Order: sequence, then structure tokens, then C-alpha cells
Amino acid sequence: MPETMTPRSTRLMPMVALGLTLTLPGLTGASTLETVTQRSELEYWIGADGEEGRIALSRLSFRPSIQLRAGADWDIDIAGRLEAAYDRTGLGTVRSFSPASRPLIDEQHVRLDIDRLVISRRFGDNRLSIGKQTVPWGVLDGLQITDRFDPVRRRDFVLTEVRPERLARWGLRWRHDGEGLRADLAVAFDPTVNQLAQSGDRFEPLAPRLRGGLAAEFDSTTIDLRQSDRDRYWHDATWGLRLSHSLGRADVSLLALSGPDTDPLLRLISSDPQRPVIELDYPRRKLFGATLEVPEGSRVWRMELAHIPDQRVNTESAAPLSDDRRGRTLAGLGMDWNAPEGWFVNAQLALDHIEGGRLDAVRPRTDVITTLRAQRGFLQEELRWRSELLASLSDGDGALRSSIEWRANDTLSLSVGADWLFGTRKGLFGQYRDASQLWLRTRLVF
Amino acid sequence: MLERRPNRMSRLALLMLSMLVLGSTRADEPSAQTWLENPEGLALGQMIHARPASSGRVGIMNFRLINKRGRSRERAALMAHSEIEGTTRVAIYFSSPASIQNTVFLSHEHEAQEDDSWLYLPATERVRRLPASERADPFMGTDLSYGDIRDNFRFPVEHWQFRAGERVEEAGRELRVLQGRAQSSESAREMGYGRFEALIDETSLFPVRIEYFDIHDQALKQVTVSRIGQVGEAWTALAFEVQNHQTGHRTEVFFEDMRYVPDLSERVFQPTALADGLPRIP
Repeated sequence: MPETMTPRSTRLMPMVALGLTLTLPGLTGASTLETVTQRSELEYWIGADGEEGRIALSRLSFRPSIQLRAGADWDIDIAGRLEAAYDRTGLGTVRSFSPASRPLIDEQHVRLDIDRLVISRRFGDNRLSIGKQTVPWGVLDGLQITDRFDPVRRRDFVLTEVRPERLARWGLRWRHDGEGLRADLAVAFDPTVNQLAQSGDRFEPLAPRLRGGLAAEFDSTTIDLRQSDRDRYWHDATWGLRLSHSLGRADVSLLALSGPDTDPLLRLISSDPQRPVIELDYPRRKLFGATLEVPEGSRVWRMELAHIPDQRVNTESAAPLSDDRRGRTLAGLGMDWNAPEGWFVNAQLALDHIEGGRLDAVRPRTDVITTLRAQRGFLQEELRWRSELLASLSDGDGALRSSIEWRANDTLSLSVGADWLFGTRKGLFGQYRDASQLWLRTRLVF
Repeated sequence: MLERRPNRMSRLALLMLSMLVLGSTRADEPSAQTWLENPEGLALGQMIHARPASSGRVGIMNFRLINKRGRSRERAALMAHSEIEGTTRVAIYFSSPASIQNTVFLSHEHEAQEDDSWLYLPATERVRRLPASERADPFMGTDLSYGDIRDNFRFPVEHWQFRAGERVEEAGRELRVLQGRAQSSESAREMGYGRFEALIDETSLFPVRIEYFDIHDQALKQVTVSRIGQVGEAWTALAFEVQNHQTGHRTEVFFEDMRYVPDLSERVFQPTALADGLPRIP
């Protein structure tokens, strides 16, 4: 059964948007549409549990995309995603999506989504984009310090090739590329938040720190876990402004954003002893941040700093699922290094600190996360080897990942890899220690 | 008179002295004592280095990468190039194959400061600043180095010493032999080349063939320019091939629709614009 039933009127909205997108340039006098690029990607990803050898992941994805152009100023970007899965990993919940962002087809094992639907117009140094789009901010890889405008997919935890896996939302974006100052203003009238794994799937959050302090034995059979309504498009809109400037050879940016938190706060709605009702809520918060990117010979240094003055967190108290408002500060430092013999190395360190209060938060006061990645191409990039360590120094857990990709030709590539998750079940990574896997991915791009 | 035979100690001292002398001649500086720059060579090297550059040119760049088993892969990209006031800017927008479509490489090479480069990968949706590549690093899986791309068939005078040789006739053309030797072992390491031997067309000041040797004086690669054309006031290579002797790989490059665009928009070379896809060039 599909997770949700989307009203017919909401299902029609993306189709209306598509129609408008394709006709708007014509209505404004631009010439006929011209295809700039067109590509399709067909991928099959299969994975087996490291310990038992059972198939835990079996997902087929088809992702077509097209870029069109009309006249001198209009651009249209459309991308879709058809996915089918029959496994224990699943396709993730869509209850955290707004009705307008939900899949056009949402069956138990099959989904059809609009990944992007954007129409843009250039006005001199300005560019206005309207539609379903992402707003990638931040300069670090996968560590979301300031890069918190977009919600992301968490159905595969962090075991994806590109992190974060962004979710596009409906909204508008205005960018100004002036001589010195660059401005990027974005508003998403779409209350979609992070996509989590469905209840019972492999990457369902189980660590008490992600469940308001509740132990893992409280599952969907003992509690009624609900999502807060994601249909308040105006009230739960996200807006953000980023200003960037070059400082010598360095790039500096300052940003502010406000919107619903993309990670959930758990609230007790009904304390029925038979089956309590718990809601995943996403209260609004503000974020102020800065980034700095500095090249230095064969290295590039990246720094990010963010402060959230009004972060809601679940706290430990006699009353279950109580919460409090705290200041939260995040900082990250990263380095890319073109090492000798063609090696590329990326190392990052991040701190995530929450202020203390009368009651302890269910999460640690300070999380310390580190990532280390090394990769190299061989035989004119026909083979590519990649290894990475993702670890929480504060929880003492992590993931060690290794893969090798063979590009058989320009269309077909095959990758094999292993992801080993370690640590205690209370940790960010250790909670998924049973989800270590060996995997194989086949990709056709045409 | 009895000839005085060296005793054991003096033989040891001689051995150590000869080791010191040999040790100071680095393996990466072959026949350093015999290689002398000549004024004709220096003048020719300087003229090649000062060859007029176009303020802006655009063309479709086609690569064919052929491995030692003869299997080939092809790439096509829009290349925009401009040289203004000591800064060379190159933007390469890949259009095929589909697997690298919309990937963009941008570099700003400065005479007076370190170079800057950026890469846009559609999958990450972000323009990423790249660490300065070593000149000798291979460019995007080809047999060209980053240095080859930025030098555009010139020999940077700060890195090379030159010696002109005789004139030879090849395919009905009179060509001049030009040899180059890295100024220092540091230059050699940076470029990945210890020396070169080239045939130069003195009319266009363009090399027709260059044989590069690595820092250990082993034949490294041969660059053969099969077609050049005048774009604006500048000569530019329109078809060439790079054969790597050590790996057996070969890269063929040819340009289509190369044209002079003197007033190339600044946006083409702005890192923030890379995510917007192929630029519109009138």
C-alpha cells in the first residue's frame, strides 16, 4: 500500500507547473524551445548484509533529464525519477513531503517523482528561477554546517555516492552576480523536510538520541508515530539570503535562513498507555552562518561556522518527550589536497555544540564528526578507487567505506564496494551496525 | 725513480671525492655539462613564448582517448579561451558523452600569482574550487598535462633553456630544430619534463612535433600538430595528437567551429555561472 493518498488537485499541480513552464517563454515572445542537453541514467544497486549475506538492497532507478532553452534569456530544466525497490532498505517515507512534492505515482514498491522542474530567466547580471529546485549552499562535503536550506534523503543513511542527497522544493530563487558582491535569495514555499527511512526499514533511526530519548524497543507496534502536517506552504516556508564576495584569492560568504528544522523534534500528543501517540514536529529555527574558502598551493581550505539561536531539542526529564529551546553552534574545517601520484585526499572535522540548560538534552552536548576520503584514477580514469572513513569521535563509532568503479565504456560503469558500520547501538553510526553491506552497482548513462 | 703508488687511504679519499662529484650531477640533469643554450635558440624560444594570443576564441573541442589495447573513448566540449593582461582563462564545458555532460572545468592562469581553477559536477550541484594542480598532472584523463593545456604550445621561458639546431625539410616545409632543457631540477619536476626536442615552423612560430623526455631522460611523449589555423591574430592548433610512450595511451584532439570572439562575455569565465550550463555565445 502507498504511504499516503495525495488529493487529485495536488497531484495536478506538478502537471500544471510543467505546462506553464513549457509555455511561459512562448507567451513572453521568446522563440521556440531548443534542446541543450538530454541524458538518462539507468541504475541497478544491489547489496547484501555483511553478516548474513541476505539481499538487503535491490533498487532500480531511471532518471531522465532535459535542459531546454528559449531565446536569449530563458532556460528550462526538467528531471524525473522512477524508482522500484523490493528489499529491506525501501524507498523512504514520503510523509515528510508536502502534498505538492509527493510522488506522482506512489505504490508500495514503485515511485515516480519530479526531481527538478525549473524555469529561469536572465536579466543582465540577475537570474530568477521559479519551480522545484535545490539551493546548495555551504563549502564542505556532506557535513551540513551552513548547508541547511535543502532537506535531504536519509533513507540510505549516509551510504550514498554524493552527500547530501538533496530534495528539491517548490519556490523561487534570485541570484545576482555583480562585479564584487554576489547575492543569492531563495524562498521555498514548500514545507518538505528530511526524508527518513520508513518504519521497520534498515535505516530507520533507532538511537535514543534521534528518538527523543526513547529506547529502540518502542517501535511502531507499541507507539503511534505520526508526522506533523506538511501542508502549510506559507507558514512553513523557508527563506534564506547568502552574500558572497572575494577577498584576495579567498571566497567569503555570509548567510541567514529561517524555516522549519529539517530534523524532527518528537512530541507526545497522547499518552494513552495502550498506544501513545507521538508526532514528528519540525519547529521553525533561524540560522546565521559564514563560509570561507582559501586555496593554498596544492590544497584548498574550507571553513564554515553557523549559529542557531533557537534550536528546539528533546530533553531528559520525568515527563516523556519534553523539549527546550537552546543555542546551537556548528563549526567545520575541511581540506582538499592534490597529493602526489594522482591521489586526491579530502579531510574534514566538524563540531556541533548545543548549549546546556536546566535539563540535559537527549543528544550529547558536543558532537565531533570527522571524515577522511582518498581516491585515485587508474588507466586514464578507466578504474577509480575510493575509500573513506566517516566517524563520530564523540560517540566512538563510524563507517568505513571502500569501492572501485570500472568504466567499461562511456555508457556503462560497474562499481563494487563494502560499507562497514561500527560502534554502539546508541551512536549515530553504530545504530546501523547490522546494516554493514557489500554492494554492486551497474549504471548506464545515455 | 719509483712511481709513488696511492695508498689505501688516498684511494678511499679519491673514491669519496668521485662519489661527491657524481652525486652532485643529478640523474635528472642529463649531460648537464655539455648542454649549452645558444642565442638563436633563446631568441626563437622567446618569440614562440611571445606569439600573439587571441583575446577570445571559442570552439568545439573533441578528444579521443585510445588505450594501449586500441579501445577508444570520445569526449566533446565547448572550449572558451581568452588571454588578457597576463591572465589566461580557459573554460571547458563537456557536452558528451552523457556520463560527463554539463561537467565544467574553469581555470584562471595568472603570470604574477598562483593559478585558480574550479570544477562543476552536476551530481554535486556545486561549483568546487580545486587545489592548484601540478603542471605535470594529467588533464581530465587525457595524455595532456595541465601545463600542456595552459601553455598552448608555448615553452615558458622561465622554465626552459633553448638551443636552436639545423633547419630540416619535412613534407615540403622548412622547419627549425629547437631543443629545450629544464632550467632547474625544480622546473623539471614541476613540468614533468626534463627536456624536449621540437620541430618549429618559423612562419607561424608553432611547433609541428615535440618529443618530451621525463626527468630521468626517458622518452615520455610525442606531440604531433597536424593542423593549425589563424584565429583572430593568433595561430592555434586545430588538430594534434599526444602519444605517451610509457603508458601506450594516445589522445587525439581536434577542434570544430573554432572562431574568434573578441568580446567574449565575462560570464563565461565566472565560477558562479558554471552551474547555469552551456553559455550563450553569439
